[in-house]
Amino acid sequence: MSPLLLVLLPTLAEGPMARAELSFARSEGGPEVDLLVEAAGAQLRARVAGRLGLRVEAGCGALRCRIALDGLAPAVDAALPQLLAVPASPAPRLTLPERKQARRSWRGAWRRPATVLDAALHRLAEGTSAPLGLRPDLGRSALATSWAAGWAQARRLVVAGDYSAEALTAALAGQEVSRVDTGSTGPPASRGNATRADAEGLPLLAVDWPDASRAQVALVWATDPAQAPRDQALAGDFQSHLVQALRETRTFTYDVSFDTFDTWATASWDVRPESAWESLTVALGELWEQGRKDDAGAREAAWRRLLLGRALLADTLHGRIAGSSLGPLPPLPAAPFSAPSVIGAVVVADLHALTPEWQALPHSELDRCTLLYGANCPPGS
Amino acid sequence: MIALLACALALPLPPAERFRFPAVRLDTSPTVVLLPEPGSGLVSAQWLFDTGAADDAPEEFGAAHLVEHLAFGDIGAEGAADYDERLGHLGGLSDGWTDRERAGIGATIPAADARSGADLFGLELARMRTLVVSGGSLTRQRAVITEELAETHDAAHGLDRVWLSRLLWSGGEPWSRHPASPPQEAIAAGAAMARWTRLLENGVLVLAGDFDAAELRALVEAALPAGRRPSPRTEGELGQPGCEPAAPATSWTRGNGNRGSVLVAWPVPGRGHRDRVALEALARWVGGARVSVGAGCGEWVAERTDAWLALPHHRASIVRALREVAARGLDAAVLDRVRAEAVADQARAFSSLPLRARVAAGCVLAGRAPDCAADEVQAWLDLTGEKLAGAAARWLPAEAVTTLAVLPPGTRFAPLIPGVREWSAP
Repeated sequence: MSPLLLVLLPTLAEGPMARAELSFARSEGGPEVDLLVEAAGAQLRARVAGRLGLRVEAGCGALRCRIALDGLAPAVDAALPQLLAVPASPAPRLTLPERKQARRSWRGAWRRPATVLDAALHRLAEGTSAPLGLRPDLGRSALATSWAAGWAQARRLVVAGDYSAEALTAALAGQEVSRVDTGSTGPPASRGNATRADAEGLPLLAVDWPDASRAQVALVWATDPAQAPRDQALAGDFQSHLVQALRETRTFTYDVSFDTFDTWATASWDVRPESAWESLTVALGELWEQGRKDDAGAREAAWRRLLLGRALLADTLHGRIAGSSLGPLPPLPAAPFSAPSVIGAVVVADLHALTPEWQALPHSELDRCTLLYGANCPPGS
Repeated sequence: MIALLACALALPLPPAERFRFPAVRLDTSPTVVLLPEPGSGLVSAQWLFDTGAADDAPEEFGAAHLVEHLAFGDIGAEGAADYDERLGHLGGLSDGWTDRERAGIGATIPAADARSGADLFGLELARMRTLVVSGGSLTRQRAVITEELAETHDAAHGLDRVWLSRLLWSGGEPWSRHPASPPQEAIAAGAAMARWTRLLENGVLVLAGDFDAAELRALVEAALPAGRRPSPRTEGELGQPGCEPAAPATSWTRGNGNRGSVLVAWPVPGRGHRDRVALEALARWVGGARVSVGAGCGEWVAERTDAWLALPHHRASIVRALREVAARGLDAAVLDRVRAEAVADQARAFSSLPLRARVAAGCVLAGRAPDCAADEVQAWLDLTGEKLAGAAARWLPAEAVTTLAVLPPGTRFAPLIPGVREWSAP
């Protein structure tokens, strides 16, 4: 294994708490690595259960898989050796209920709105197709390979809070450690290039969900870390243009979700089907007009709200660790924002319930199961 | 393994004093509490009101939630910059919530300079004095709330707790009093404004974070009149008017998902009762359970989701487990685990500045010192098996249980769960 990258974060006002998070880059493991990390977390939880209310969190996000200890500092200190033993341990065996649950979750994915929307966004922005594949391979050999690949490189241990330096030193004995003294470990790795909008019009991906009572609409645009203030002003918080327009002014929706990746960003909202088209045109209008609307005061306000986001992250142990992998905050923008390059839009709805304008747009249409599995819906789902 | 176990048993819980923090309660109207935290990089203003959806008059159901939304409206004049726009210029973000008993609104800004505390208080003062509630803002926020309810009710079993409340309490929890009720059309701007004024009179504002406490105190005391401390809300105890349990019942209804759930519930005493910590400990031990308490009454509810055939067994096992605790108490090691989890969760509730401010507000609203959370931790440290057994015997006996089962559509229910009656959605 490569050396363990160690990041120690400062202690603030969190009281008698600590958090230790061991992680690896997501791209290093296979698709089944999510199950293995969760299973490893469950096994660690069983071993340390009852220890001063210690919480074990395990799972994979878009970029990293992690297992974390969270709780009163003495409990975290005491459980560090078990945490650090996880990478060298054999791949956890999935119990029969875990295998059943994994297969059930795979089969039922097409019924979960968030999963469908996420798959559609990644298909539009990155060309990712059939993310769930034909069937999860839960064979012992496949799992062992995924497990080993995941932990082989780029392991990172981040510790924050009221932990004991002596306990940490003792737990790390015998490990090859590369220490990083600052909180930042650089910007996250890129997941590939976003596709660009073609000149003919807005690429639209329509996913049919028969009998859905609501529609989910999303806009996708190109971005990079330097554009964070612009994206914040466009969709990043309650004061943003999209939330104000779609919620406060036009009352199409209660909330606009915003997410940003290395090269693309997305805003999505949930509306009545008859409002879906109009909400999209309003959102596009805000996007194209942003450069004209945002004066120096608005740009500074958006930048300050980014600053608040970083400060709120630093205010908690969990957030401080998450923030340690973010790049530095971009400087206060002096020049007007440039309108983002729109990659496309997604709608997930009962396509027959949408107003006719959608049908007139050039679009590609998919059913949920082709989107997720590349095939018909799994039998028994 | 033995060494590890011994090591685990030897780990001490932090003393309650670790949960005290310096806070100053000012004798102003509304009550203001200062919670300075130099170096935090943030300033937060958290309001807490001892009024919730249960206080809506019949002709004004939904008013509490609506007023929470309206509190972020125009300041000074209709069409002027609203609260959130002004807050945005300070780099801040806001949030709000309403439940049956209480409501809260809050805002946090980065501590950009020495004036940040004063700036945020100035914005709160402007809202207190010159919030505008107009017909236009009423119409808009009704529409926003309608969309909010449509999104949240899309989740399966979103209405179960309302139905369970109707079973638990005599006369039922009227559907419209639930925070998920859409606001009545009859709520007019004048009534909403009057409600806002009443909220301010009895509310608590906590200003927390990176500011000079002496300077901010002088500013607050110069701006606000002297006032009395908020009186803790009092309601009848369990069994008295307003807190009368209904007869135990077992009912079922149809849900949306393809698995069923069962809610097993008892009415219990409210906030401040000597058995509340013990009841929460029992909820933690049973797992998948919660205690929700108001000023006079509360509910102890355990929930299980499973294939519908398994639901009667879940119900029976919960009732049986509590009967055994009432008779024999809880194993000391298990009690230690439950206690440790609770203390750790108390520490997590302290884990961010806005949360600490809300905890302080809750203490003051209950007529206690702002750092009463330390007393809460002490109550957990003092919890014994005998107290748990007594609480289980007094409040969670088998003969007083109410059960609501939510089944997949198309389930043929009878006769597998005897004694059941069908429940229809309101």
